[in-house]
Amino acid sequence: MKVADAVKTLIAAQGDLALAARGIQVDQKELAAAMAKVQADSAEAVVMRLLVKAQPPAPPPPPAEE
Amino acid sequence: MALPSKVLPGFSAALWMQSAATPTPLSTANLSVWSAQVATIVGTAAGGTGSAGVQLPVEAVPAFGMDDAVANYSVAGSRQSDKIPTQSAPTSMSITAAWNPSDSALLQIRSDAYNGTVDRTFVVSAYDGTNTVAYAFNGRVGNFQIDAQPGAEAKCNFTVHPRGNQYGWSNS
Repeated sequence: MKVADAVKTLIAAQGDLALAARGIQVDQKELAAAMAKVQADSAEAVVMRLLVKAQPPAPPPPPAEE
Repeated sequence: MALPSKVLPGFSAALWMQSAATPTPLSTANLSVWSAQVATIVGTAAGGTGSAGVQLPVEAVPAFGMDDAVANYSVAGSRQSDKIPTQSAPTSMSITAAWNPSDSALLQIRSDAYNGTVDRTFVVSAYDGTNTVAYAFNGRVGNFQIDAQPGAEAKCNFTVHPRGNQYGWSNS
């Protein structure tokens, strides 16, 4: 899902946002870029922080070939 | 929700609520946003703007937060039932206030109690004279009783039941 759509969905949601965020996968680079632009005291920042927590850890880099 | 990034060395606590008769409660995300959201419910006496809120004249702000909850199961013929711990349940706030029949906030609470289905955003503010830390939640009023004993001032008792997971911390 696009970060903008995920943010819009979560801002409008009632209930457990952390649980809702766990069900949404977004591109982590796109999310980091959006985090850099957002104002800290805003609903967008609140849900983006939850999305960051909810994303799975990045896969390890492929082993270097010798 | 993230905790506020403020520590108040000493503060006065107050309880606020949305003032509209049929309010639109803040969304869960906005319960953690001070600017233009929670600040509109907290009055100027506690560092907010108060454009959409009113103070509840409570005697004391009761305990708030959450407590553990348990589900009970029993099987016919079994000597013991089973208690399954579940996730936390929000604490209902039982509140006592001096009954003033011309106080608009108390009349609104009474109206909400009669209705039973009005969701409203409430805010507990802690204010040190400069900074405000706010705990905002959506809740419904569950009961409203007037205690008019002749030996003391008339009081009203009511209970606010928070909606599950709909809370947030913010600060000015």
